[in-house]
Amino acid sequence: MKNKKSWMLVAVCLCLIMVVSGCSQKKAEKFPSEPITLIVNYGGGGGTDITARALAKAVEPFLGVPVTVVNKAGGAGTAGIIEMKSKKPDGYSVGVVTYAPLAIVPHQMKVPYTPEDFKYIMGYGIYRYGLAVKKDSPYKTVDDLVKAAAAKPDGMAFSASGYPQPFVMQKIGALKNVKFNYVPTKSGSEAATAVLGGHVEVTIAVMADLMQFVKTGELRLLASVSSDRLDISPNTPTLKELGYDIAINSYMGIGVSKNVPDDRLKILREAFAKAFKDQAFQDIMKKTSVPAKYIDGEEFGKLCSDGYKESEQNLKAMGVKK
Amino acid sequence: MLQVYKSMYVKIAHCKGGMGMKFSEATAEQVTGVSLGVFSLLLYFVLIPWQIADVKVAGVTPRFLPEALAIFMLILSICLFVNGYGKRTNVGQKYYSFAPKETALVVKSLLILSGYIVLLEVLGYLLTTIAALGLLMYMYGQRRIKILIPVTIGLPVVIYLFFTKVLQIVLP
Amino acid sequence: MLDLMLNGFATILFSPTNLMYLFAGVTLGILMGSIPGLTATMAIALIVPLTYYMEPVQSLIMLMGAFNGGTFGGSISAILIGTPGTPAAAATVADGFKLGLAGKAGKAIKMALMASITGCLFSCIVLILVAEPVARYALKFGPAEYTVLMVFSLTINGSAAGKSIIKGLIGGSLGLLFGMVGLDPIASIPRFTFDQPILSSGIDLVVMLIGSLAFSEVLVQIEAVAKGKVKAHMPPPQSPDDERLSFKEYWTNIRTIVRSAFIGCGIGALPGLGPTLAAYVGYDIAKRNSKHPEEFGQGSLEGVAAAETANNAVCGANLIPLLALGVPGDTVAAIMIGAFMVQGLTPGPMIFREAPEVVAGLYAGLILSNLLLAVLVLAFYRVFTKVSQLETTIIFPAVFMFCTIGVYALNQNVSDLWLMMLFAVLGYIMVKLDYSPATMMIGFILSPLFEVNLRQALIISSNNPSIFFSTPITWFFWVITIYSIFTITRSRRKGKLVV
Repeated sequence: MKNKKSWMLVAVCLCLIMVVSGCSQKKAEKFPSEPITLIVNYGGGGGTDITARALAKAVEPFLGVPVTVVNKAGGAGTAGIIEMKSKKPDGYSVGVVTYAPLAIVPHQMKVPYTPEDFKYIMGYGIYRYGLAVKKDSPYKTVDDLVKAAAAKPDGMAFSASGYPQPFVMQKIGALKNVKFNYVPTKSGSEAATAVLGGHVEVTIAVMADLMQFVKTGELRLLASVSSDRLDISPNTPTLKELGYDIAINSYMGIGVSKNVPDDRLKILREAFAKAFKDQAFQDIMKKTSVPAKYIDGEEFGKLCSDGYKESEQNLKAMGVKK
Repeated sequence: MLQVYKSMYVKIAHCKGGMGMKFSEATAEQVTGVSLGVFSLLLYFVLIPWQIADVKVAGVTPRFLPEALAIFMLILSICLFVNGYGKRTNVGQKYYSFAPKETALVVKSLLILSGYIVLLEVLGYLLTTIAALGLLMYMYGQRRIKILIPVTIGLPVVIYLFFTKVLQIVLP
Repeated sequence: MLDLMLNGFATILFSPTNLMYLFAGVTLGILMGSIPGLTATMAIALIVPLTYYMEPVQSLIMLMGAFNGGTFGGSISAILIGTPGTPAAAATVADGFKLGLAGKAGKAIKMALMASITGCLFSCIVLILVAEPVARYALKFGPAEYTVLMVFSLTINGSAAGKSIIKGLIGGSLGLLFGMVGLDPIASIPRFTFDQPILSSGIDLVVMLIGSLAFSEVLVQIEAVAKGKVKAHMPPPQSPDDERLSFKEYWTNIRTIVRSAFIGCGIGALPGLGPTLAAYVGYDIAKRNSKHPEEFGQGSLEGVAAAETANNAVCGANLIPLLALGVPGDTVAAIMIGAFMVQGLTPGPMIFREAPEVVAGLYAGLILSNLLLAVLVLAFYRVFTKVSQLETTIIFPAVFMFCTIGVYALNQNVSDLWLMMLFAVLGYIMVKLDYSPATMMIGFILSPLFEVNLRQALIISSNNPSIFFSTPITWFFWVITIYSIFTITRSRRKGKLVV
């Protein structure tokens, strides 16, 4: 018994020593003086992971310390963000924050954060969306589609791989008083193949998933659902140009806890802004078909907060949130 | 019904050491039938309303299939109970036994592993794994120092190096 | 075509670096697949970041080698320890472990090897020759067709159920219930998550597998330790014949192997299903058609062959939707997309035009990985069998440690470990009371597939159930479902296909 107690004592002492020495070291030196962890909120090998790893590599020389990437997948992208928030706000834990888990998912499930709980370093990528039908579909324009849907009292089915895509059809529906039924799929490419197989008539997906089939002519792009025309298909009009005042965008960014001191945030922002211009990083972004776009931290935060409020109303309008 | 539990209680009480039990197939089926029935009712009336928001979507709602499953499980539990009840007088039916010594070892293993999980993030991977591995091996009857020491220290170190160096996974 | 393929082989065979990458992939795959807790999927996820600086062919053949090696590797621990190394090997345990306990571990491993290779080569041929038409046909499978296919798959619980069909259905129901934990696939609201972030992405297949099939199995086995026996875990071969696999033994099972190869190919070509389901379906159908169904579950070589052919046939086949349509067939294929993208390639119809030499190299690599697999396994399987002959006091604690570290490594989250423990206890109790945890596993795999397709179909048809009878494919699956239920009830009445 006595033996056990003394062992415990030794263990406790050891722990204390480690903690104390760890703390005192950090305070004395300049930031950053030890490795920084980048928490990626999706699993290894996915698009977000690949670009985040390239970014981590690119930012190392500007920070002067190694940047290790940790994947924390799960909870529809929220697990990684929760993990980042739970870390000490010393600027050594930085997280990839994507638009949907920040602005949309918090309305669907309970998460211990809102977009206001973070400060943002930058936004570095923007997703573009397109509206497409099968090549032999009778619908040549969005108006054709709306007319056809109006003729169906039960509504027309469309496929998409998650929010914010369905907001578009819901809004078109509300505008023209027709009904569209959302068929969720696991991935964007599945949403596209649901149209190819003739199981649904129309899909909204990220351009990266549609492009292949647009190129082979198997899918016909009816509109760009983003605020601008698409680089890859400049002849396709945007929904706005077609008279529907609707656009969705989705972003990838880097954030830290809001309690990180401002001087450290400034250092991180400067380093990541330089890393964004790195050629290797830009190449990876191009390869993964995510248009790279630099959005400064403050603006990115505003995009997320606005999106957070807007999504709540959209979800309520769709009846999936009370 | 009450009799079933009573007979089980008697059987448990008869075993020495407290951990062991022995009961017939009929008893087992009646008891699990009742527990499963209670569970499916709980699922239908408590868990589903509590854990699944009542939202309206096209097609069937998120509650539909869980509710259907709960009803199906209730039917199964009744079948199981009736089945077990029908067997109660069968001679030579199967007996399930949780022998005291064996069950104690399983429970002890689970306790050690639970402790291992609790301490994993506190003390770090290497220390806890060495301790847990040593404890388990000793408990299962390994007494030779020549085997205990190399395995308890070597294996965790190899795993640790493999994960952190080769696979680049951060361990606590 | 032939030119291109010959070129593909040449790029690998005449380049020591390429060969080395393939070799490394296969080795890592076997190693990680054979350790319970580490899976082929994890091996691939870990290789992807390493491939950033490789040539396209190098990176892809390394990944496919790891996939093929890992899918086979799972059977090694299934046979030697009774715990599946990967989910895909879950169906191999029943017979493989019994063979191992009879001293025939060497024979069983060789049967698994030959079956795996046959399955993988068969699917490679299908992939090379008819990927495009097969993928086009697979497009016809919409939500309604998948739903009916899932209804059929639920009937395979019949042969996994054991003595009592009620107990089988209970196990299956529990699996279905656990499969519903997480975000609702249609409304994306949480179900049964108790506000735990870890549960909102659902219960991981590996956590379920390790908990209910591997961990619980070891718990059952340590009961023997309590009897004071510090014996070798697995007996050495009784005769030299136990180590060998004769051509005759392979050939008598050729019908089963070919059937399983077709099943594995079909399931691999349909996006979303995966090797675990393929193995279970292959096993189930082999059992129904076997001349010796009573041997299944008691150490049947045919059972090992059926499961292992089917799961490795998925390796080649799940490249069919990936390459022809850009749709990932399962988690492994989803990770592969990342690897393609790093190389600036997008899997999909354009890849055959944009990078035919990469595709040819990939095909050649996949075929050659089988050869390497055979060489490696035949050279080193004795090491594995030697390990399994160690004392139980070493094996069991070590397996516990591998299981926990593997599950922890999934998401680096301790909550997964608690979940694993929960399933371990549940699995243990199930085994003790004559329930089969395998039925729970099957229910768990099918649950999300069944639900999401059923509900998608009902959205498309505006709640009109006639959609499930609307196409010839749905009729086909209804017919075989009815036939399947019929054979289960008949054989049970006869008392032949018990066990």
